[in-house]
Amino acid sequence: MNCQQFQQRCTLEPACQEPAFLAHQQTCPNCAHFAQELAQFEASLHTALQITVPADLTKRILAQPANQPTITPSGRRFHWQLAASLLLAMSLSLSGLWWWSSSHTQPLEQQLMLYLAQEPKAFLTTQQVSLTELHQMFNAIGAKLVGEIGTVSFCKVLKLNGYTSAHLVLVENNQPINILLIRNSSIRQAEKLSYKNLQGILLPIQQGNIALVATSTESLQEIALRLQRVIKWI
Amino acid sequence: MEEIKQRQSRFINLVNLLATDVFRYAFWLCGDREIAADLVQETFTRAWEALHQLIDDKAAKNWLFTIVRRENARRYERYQPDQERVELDEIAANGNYDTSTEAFVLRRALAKLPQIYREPLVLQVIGGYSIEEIAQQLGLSTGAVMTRLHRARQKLRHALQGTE
Ligand SMILES: [Zn+2]
Repeated sequence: MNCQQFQQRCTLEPACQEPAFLAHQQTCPNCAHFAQELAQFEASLHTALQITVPADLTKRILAQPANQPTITPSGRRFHWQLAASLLLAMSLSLSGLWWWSSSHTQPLEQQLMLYLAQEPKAFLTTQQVSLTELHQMFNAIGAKLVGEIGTVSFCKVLKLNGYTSAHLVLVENNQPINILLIRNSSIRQAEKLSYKNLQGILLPIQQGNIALVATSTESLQEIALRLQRVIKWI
Repeated sequence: MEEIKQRQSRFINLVNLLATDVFRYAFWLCGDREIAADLVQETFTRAWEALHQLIDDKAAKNWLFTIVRRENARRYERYQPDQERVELDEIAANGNYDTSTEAFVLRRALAKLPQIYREPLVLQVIGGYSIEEIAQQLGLSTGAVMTRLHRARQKLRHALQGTE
């Protein structure tokens, strides 16, 4: 590297760490002086760019799930809001509504909503569940998948009121939709579900019930129809 | 639950380590402290959601800067703000520095600098990126980045010397 190259480089990238650059600076007093003068300007520039950061910035970011600003309601924000409301629901269930879970005579609908309120992980997972896992889950509840189900971000087998059930989260237009397939349960009439800001529908199907829960009931009915076409009971 | 805890502590680390740089970058992109704070919130929300996509935490700064830039671009699509502007009054009102220093003059000059010159410079000085990395981040040739960095510094120097 010659003096001209050095000075050109120095003007563009004063903090350049390339060996050839550093070597020239160490061996050429002329260029070392040049670099030093530039360094002063660079220091001022650095200071100028370092504007003050709001004191509570970190706190605000970390408080985000519970305190989401609402500039633009977008689907992806949904997870946070829902998670926050679920956490609230959870704390309520721990204080005033604890008897809900301890009683075995509670209607299935309540058990179901309480279960959802206690499973916030379902809303926070954004990874896609593999087809293999899905097949395993359906198999475990005595069903099988015979068509395209869509994007599933969570799946789990559980007992609800003693009934073998499957919980999956379907991602539709960026919104998580909770699906519960409850095998052999016997609610024979379609019902609306509501708990805090969660809303849903419970429908009778051939081998039990299916529940769909989200923050609004919009399009749940269509999704239910679609699911019934691709899920077959064995 | 263990998985969530791990994810949370990883996230908290990122916030503590990088929120300041992310904020400063956002500020010099949008020129408004309030909007910058919103952009940072938005960016970290995205980061939380996509944390599993970040394989190496060493790449976190790059990743976050990319998200900030994308969110800022989205903001432009949504609102079409009158023009890029860094609020001079806001800068002036944003104390904590001596108005007699070069920093004050430089801030005003930086505010007036067109975005295409300011952004590579901010990436270099705040982000600590090399010319090649800036080229990659901005999708430019290294030659273009060099020209912009040169122009940017030239304009700032003129401002300091009072010739602009
Ligand atoms: Zn030399």
